[in-house]
Amino acid sequence: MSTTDTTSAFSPSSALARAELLDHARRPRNRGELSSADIVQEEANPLCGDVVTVYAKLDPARCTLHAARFTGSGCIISQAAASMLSEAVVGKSIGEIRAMERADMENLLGATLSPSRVKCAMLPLIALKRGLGSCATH
Amino acid sequence: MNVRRAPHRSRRSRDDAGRAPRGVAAGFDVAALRGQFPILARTMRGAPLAYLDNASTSQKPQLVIDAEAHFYETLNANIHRGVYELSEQATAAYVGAHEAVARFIGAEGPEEIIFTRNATEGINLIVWTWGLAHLQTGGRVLLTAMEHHSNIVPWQTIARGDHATIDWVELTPDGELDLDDLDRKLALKPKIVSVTHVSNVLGTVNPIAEITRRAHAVGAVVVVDAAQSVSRLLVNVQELDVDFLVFSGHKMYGPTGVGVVYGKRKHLDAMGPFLTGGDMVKTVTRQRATWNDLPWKFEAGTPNIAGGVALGETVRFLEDIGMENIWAHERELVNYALPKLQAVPGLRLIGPISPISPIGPIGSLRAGVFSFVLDSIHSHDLASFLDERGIAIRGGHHCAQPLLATLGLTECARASVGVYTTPEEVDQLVSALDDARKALT
Repeated sequence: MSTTDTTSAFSPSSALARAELLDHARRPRNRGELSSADIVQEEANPLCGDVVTVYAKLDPARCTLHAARFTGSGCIISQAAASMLSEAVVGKSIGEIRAMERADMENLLGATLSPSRVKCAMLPLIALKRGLGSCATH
Repeated sequence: MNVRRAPHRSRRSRDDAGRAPRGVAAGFDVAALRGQFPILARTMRGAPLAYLDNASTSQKPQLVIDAEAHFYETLNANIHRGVYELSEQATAAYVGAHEAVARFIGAEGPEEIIFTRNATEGINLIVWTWGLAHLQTGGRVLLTAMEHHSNIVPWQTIARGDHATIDWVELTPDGELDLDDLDRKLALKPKIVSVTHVSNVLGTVNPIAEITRRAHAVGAVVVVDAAQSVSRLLVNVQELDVDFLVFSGHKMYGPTGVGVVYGKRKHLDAMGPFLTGGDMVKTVTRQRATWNDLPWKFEAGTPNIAGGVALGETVRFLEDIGMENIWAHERELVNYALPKLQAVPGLRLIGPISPISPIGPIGSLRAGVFSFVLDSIHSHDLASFLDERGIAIRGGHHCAQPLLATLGLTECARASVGVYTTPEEVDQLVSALDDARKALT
């Protein structure tokens, strides 16, 4: 997936991407626990104190993700990434989610991330993929 | 010795009225000094680099870079081994670096100066030699609430094995060491007190001479982590009367991969070796070995010779500028930056906030290490925002998680100055912080 049309999240010239990012950080979508979740998976970055717990409900018949929510705290990138991911993965197949990677998170965030910030964006995706890995439903 | 430095002693530049430029202490020409640090000419993301992460590591002047290259170009041979001239020259350069460091910190001689990889390895050396010998039967270690992980974890590691106990000197609300609490904890009769000279988070300059006096009165040995102080203050181990002192080359404008342990000769003589193997021995039989003379007893294997030689050049660089001038420059920056940072809306400064006397003695003071929280902005977001403007600051826990926990934080931002930092860079930081608050909250 190409990231050439995106810019750095905090660049003075990337006001649009930043506005979207900040909107998700300030007014996170799907924030809160999900009762009767099939997956509850926490992932933390101890170095900066970012914590994200992803809750997901699966549709076993169609092998898709039915709903996702998250809780946690941390930097703008990690929290906005969790919010954006919780919208983006609904309806996706388990296989599609397992195939998601850095470029997908950068596309969601509309920003190219420096190596030191990638881990913030990847936190919710890593939690979700790890949760899928330990989930018996396929 | 063939390691020659380029002429670099800066000539004072004056404006037409004969005044020294703004922010320049007497005898100190920041512009000329900056010219000696090639990396400062770089732009980052299109903006001039404002490097404000000196507490993490400092930049290197050309003559230090040249000294390391020059060693490989003209002097490279192993030390203490060859009988040929090249090896003798390499040995002389390496020994000369120990002599330079000994002079720089006021040690009695080069035999009290051990080169390690860094300050962390230095603490480990003390812990696994002196500590192993004296804490095996238990006992107490006294640390402070403001220590870097490197002055905590090695002690924890040996304390767990040997059932020693760690006590902590707490802080005053201003972020200074609580000297009354020091007395309370000293009354528990610790065998060793290990304390930082300058806090890498709070910027607090601890009164080491006073701490040492009180610690010695209860029979404790004193270790000082000088990683943040040797590049900022005049450090004299005999005046401070410390038993051990450690620091890293890379935070004092020298190379990475070389650090120093100073130890009083009586301690080093009584201590067993740290790492063992080649070069730290006199004779080896199938059964046993005998140890080499100081300081080589503590330098096993081929050391970082080029880095060591360059460290010698680093202290000559600092001596040429003069540590009094460096500290005066830093005091000016502190007094300039403190009110400006405090005036940024939503900014909460961590550590002592009283301005320091422009001519005051080195005592309970503050160094140019400014940790802060800006509204609810995560320090990594703030650091990324500033990075886009060419400003390099640190975010995170600064390898001092117990201190941050004491302060009720998990992370904070930190800007730290160096010899080449200008008031203009402080202005740049302050202005970008204002922008960040508007953009990110």
